[in-house]
Amino acid sequence: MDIHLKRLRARFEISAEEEAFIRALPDRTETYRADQTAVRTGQPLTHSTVLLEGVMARHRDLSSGTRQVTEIHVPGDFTDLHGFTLKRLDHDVVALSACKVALIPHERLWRMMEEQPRLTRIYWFGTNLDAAVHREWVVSMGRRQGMARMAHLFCEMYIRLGLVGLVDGGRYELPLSQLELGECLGMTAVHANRTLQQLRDSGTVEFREGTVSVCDFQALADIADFRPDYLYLKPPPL
Amino acid sequence: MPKFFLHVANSAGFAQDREGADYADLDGARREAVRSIRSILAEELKQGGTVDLRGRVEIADEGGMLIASVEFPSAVRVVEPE
Repeated sequence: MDIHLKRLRARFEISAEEEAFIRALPDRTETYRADQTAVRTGQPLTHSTVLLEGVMARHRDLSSGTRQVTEIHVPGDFTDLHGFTLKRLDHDVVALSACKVALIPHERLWRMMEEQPRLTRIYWFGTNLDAAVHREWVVSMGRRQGMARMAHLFCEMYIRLGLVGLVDGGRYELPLSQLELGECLGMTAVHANRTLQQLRDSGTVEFREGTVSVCDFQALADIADFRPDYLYLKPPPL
Repeated sequence: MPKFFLHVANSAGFAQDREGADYADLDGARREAVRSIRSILAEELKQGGTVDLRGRVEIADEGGMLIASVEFPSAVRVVEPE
């Protein structure tokens, strides 16, 4: 749970007592191979999932055979804390790479709500943050043109992975195929590859074999019209 | 399922597909090429108001051999006023 605590502490102070409580939340860990579905739409839920290693995605598959990814999860994220109240999901959660997760029984989250009101507020913040990310993706899908949409995704991942120490010298792992990248952005794999080429030509970012190299973050953010406010990087204390 | 590489060549340049993807058959790869051409042209039209049909998607097999080419005009139907 180290990476999860790191993610929480990027925004909030967590006391030793709260840390001990968080560390005792999971009842087991699980591993998934790339492309394995971790949670299926509609399946009754008794646990929520914290991603420890790897990258996962929330997605919806349409009857036309196309897939829309609605959020990417990085290590430290709760992938389905909303499942605690919803008890089923309206989307699948899939591992995009080999993943390791910690599973937290819902009755322990229930106990947290009764015994740890401050942690409850912090996790409420977490689901609100998820909603903010979803809103920004809606804006991207509806209003940003292809290059800006892709640049925005790379900016967001740069910030979110940076919070948990997974950006090194402007480079980070994003183990997505061109097809999966396109599924995040509403493009075909071929269109995604061509958009990657345009971004490469702009000298701001490169994406090759699952590694993103950001050469000029500010210029990339300018292309994307990226403002990190929606990620609430410095929230007031809860 | 065979793997094909779909490269895009048009006036904006050449985008080489280094990754490739699996398709049921060559027809499946052709259909993906057509969908992609439409997606790229739609994007260009929205951005700049120009439909530039001078382009093609080249389909290569796993060995890098060019086996088919889908021309941009074959992916769209343009209906002009009389």
